Amino acid sequence: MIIEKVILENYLCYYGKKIIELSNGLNIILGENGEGKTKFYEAIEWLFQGNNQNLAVLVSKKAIHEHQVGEEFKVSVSVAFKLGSEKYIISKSFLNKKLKDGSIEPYNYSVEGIEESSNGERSQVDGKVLLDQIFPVQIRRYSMFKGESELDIFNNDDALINLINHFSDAKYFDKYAIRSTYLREQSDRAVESSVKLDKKNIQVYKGLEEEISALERKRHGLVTLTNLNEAEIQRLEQSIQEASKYVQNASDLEIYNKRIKKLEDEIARLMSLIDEGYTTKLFDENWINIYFEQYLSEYSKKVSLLSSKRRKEQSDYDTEIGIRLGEKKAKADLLNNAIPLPINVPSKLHMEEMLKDEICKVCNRDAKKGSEAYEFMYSRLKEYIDSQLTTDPSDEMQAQSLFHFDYTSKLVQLSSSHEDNLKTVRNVKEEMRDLFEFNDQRKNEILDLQQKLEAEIENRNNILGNSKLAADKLSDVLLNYTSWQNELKSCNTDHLNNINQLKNLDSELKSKKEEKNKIDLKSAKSFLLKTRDILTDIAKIFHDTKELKFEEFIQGLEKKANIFFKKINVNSFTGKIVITRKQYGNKNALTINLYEDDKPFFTPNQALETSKHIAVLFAISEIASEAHEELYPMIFDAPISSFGENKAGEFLNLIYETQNQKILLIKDFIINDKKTDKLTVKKEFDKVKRHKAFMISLKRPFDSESLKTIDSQFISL
Amino acid sequence: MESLFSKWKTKIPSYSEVHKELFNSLSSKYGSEGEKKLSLGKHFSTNYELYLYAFYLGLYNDEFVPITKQEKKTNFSYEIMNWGSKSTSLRKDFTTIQEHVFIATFAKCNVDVLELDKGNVKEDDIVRELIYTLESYTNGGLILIREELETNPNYFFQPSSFLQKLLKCKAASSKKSSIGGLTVD
Amino acid sequence: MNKKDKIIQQFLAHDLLITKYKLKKNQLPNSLKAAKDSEVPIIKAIALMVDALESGQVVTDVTLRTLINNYLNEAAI
Repeated sequence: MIIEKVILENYLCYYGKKIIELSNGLNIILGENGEGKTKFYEAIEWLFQGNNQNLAVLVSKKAIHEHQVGEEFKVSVSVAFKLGSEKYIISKSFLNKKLKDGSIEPYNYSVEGIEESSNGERSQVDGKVLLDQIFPVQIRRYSMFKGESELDIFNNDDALINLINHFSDAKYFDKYAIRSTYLREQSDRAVESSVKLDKKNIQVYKGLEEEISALERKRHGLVTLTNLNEAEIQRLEQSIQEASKYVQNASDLEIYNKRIKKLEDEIARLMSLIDEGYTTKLFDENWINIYFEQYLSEYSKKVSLLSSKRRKEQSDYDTEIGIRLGEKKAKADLLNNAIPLPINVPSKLHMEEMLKDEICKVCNRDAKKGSEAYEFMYSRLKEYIDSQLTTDPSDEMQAQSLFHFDYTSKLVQLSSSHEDNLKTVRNVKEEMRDLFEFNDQRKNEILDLQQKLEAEIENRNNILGNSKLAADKLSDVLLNYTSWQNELKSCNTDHLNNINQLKNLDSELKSKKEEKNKIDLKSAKSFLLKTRDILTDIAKIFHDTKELKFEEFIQGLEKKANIFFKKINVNSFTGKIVITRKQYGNKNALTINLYEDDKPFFTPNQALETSKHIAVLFAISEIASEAHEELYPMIFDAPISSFGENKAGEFLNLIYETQNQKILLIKDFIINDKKTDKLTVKKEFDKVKRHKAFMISLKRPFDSESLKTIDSQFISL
Repeated sequence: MESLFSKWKTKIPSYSEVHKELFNSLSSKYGSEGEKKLSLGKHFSTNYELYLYAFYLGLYNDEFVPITKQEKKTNFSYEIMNWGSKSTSLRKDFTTIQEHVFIATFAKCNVDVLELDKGNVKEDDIVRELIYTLESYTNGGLILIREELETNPNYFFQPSSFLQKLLKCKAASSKKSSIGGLTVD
Repeated sequence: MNKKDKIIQQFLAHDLLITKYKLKKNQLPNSLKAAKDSEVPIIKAIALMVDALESGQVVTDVTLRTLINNYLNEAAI
């Protein structure tokens, strides 16, 4: 069956009468958004399933404007069909009268059918009945789609049953399963009643019956649980698969983050080791005295000069005055009248040591007891000891001493103590050098590490740049991914447990039923038993055969869908469509998934999803055709918006080959020149294979604010 | 035995008011260490540290510049004997530096201690002379610092700047000692 | 082959008839008519059901049950 013509009269944006002649095969209607494309689809939709509600809104505003008050005009949508050699027209229409206030009053709503036989004879028939005959509703349901989202027909649970009911002889077998189950149940009851008549058995029998019921309830609950668990497993697998796109990135990110942290920590550690407190070290480490030595020697020179001068003056003084204050002041004559050393040099300890060893350790000469050297040292030591014994404050002595104070000694002391410490001052140079070296080395190490750090950060940025998720989302993904994996593990374990439990339950049920059977066998009338046996078997046969038919249908559908899918696959997707049936209690739900390498592929983009759905629809259309031994048209409004123009062209060329009539409304291949407000068809469209093509556009000029200027028209291409 | 040193270190040396700003910017009047020093941005924790640095700078460079009579003198009220004593764990005690400074100024001074020993000269006179020497070298050092800042305002921003400046002195070349590995700017 | 024949053929293709009832493939009837004449109770019972449910008329549960039980109970004895 094909649609030959569509006639629109004063319907919405179509003013006056518009006749659109379609051909068999592929009809492409191009239309920008807002030019009347979807209204065309809706017109046909209204014809097929609309009613007489809200008719006033369907009237073309321009038509209202153009007519006088009191004038009558018609609004109608008609479709001309060709079925075999017969032609039919179905029209839906209503009349309008324009009122004084400018509004209209619709009336005379009617649906007409006209049959035109091959010899040109026309006869009127009931429009509604005719429509259901030509284009049955169960076929229409799978032939007309508005937008990509409507293509997913298996969104509801009844879809499968509907399909089967319409297109498969599996539908016949449904009733057998139901009926035979009923018969078996009744037969069971007959047996039970018969058994119960024997009073002996009532107790045991009732008990068993109850146990069996309880087990069956338990079983039912377990089956539901198992189904829910399976749904959860699928959900988790889907989440995991979606996340696994990111996880590789996420775990790489982890690795880089760890490396980066390690590098940063090491750099920080090295930084903390660097000590550049040079100014402070000037004082704390005495670096400031680096050149002190020369000043110390100046000082020492001065001070020793001072000391010897003082001793000389004292010595001269003493010699002059000729103080003879006993042996306390006696000075040993030195050779050559040289200036004696200060009285406490060498020290008392050194003197005692030398006397003991009988050696002068300064010049390394013998000083044997009794020798001149020995006596000299001995008397010196005595002088010293005596000088320490008294502090005679005798004024006479004081008044006659040359020096009243002794600042000099302290100054000398200072000199010698610092001479002893010169070693540390001399080390300053090296200390400084060591510190500078140390710091430089650390700085070089840090530079190295910083280079490495930059490289790792760049790696990390590459990952983040490639992934659509921000860094913290990636971390979330990693967290989720791990927890989903764990959940999946436990769900799978649960699943196994459920299966096991089910097995156990089933075997328990079996044994209970056998027990019951034994009693039945003993007590029931044997013919009842035999009947029950046969009916049980029949029920099984019917049930199994029905299941088989269902499966056959689904597999057939899947096979056909994959043939179409291969043809129209515009994404180079290498997988296939897999249709699975899930039974939840009495419901049969169908899920259509894409599989790649035997694994479910959960994240197709919209274009792939659309290809999948369209393939299934074409498969259904083919099944419908086989079932009814007739081809039916398919009407799609904007089914491939997500494809993009190139893919759209490819797709159209592919479906050009299919057998039935296709009417596609799309918005690709049009350029709207905003400056001239002219719509033109792109050159690329010339390459697209089709049997007929149109462009819908509003008659220009028009005022989008004022609906009475709106009038769409069809331009043949 | 009397000690010139003990008397000397009870003094508070002065500096020319001209250099007041240097003290304000480079050192911390009431002393600061660690975080406080960092946050105040001071190179020298205390005024006397800057004073000591300037003295050594002047000494090593032989910049003996007495403070002229017209210049007003000021000080930071801290006796020499307290210099270098640290009450915080962040720093080491360096009170021995007092002796070093004493020795260096004495070396450069021409005082007759024997007259002091004989009692012909008062202790205070000698000490005055020593302090004068100290102040003059310090003044020289401060001028050097100022001159550097004028030519090169950013000179002291490097952590080793003060050290480097000290090492570049005349005393260094005279000793013909090279400190290898140190970069002299 | 009409619809009824197709249907009963599908049912009779089930394993059970061979495994449990020890029937051979060539013993299975091809058409509804032949199945109705079968002496194997299960085959005839199936045939009766198909006949009733494909008759195009409404068959109530009671009617169906009576029909089948009638036959089977008799056949069992």
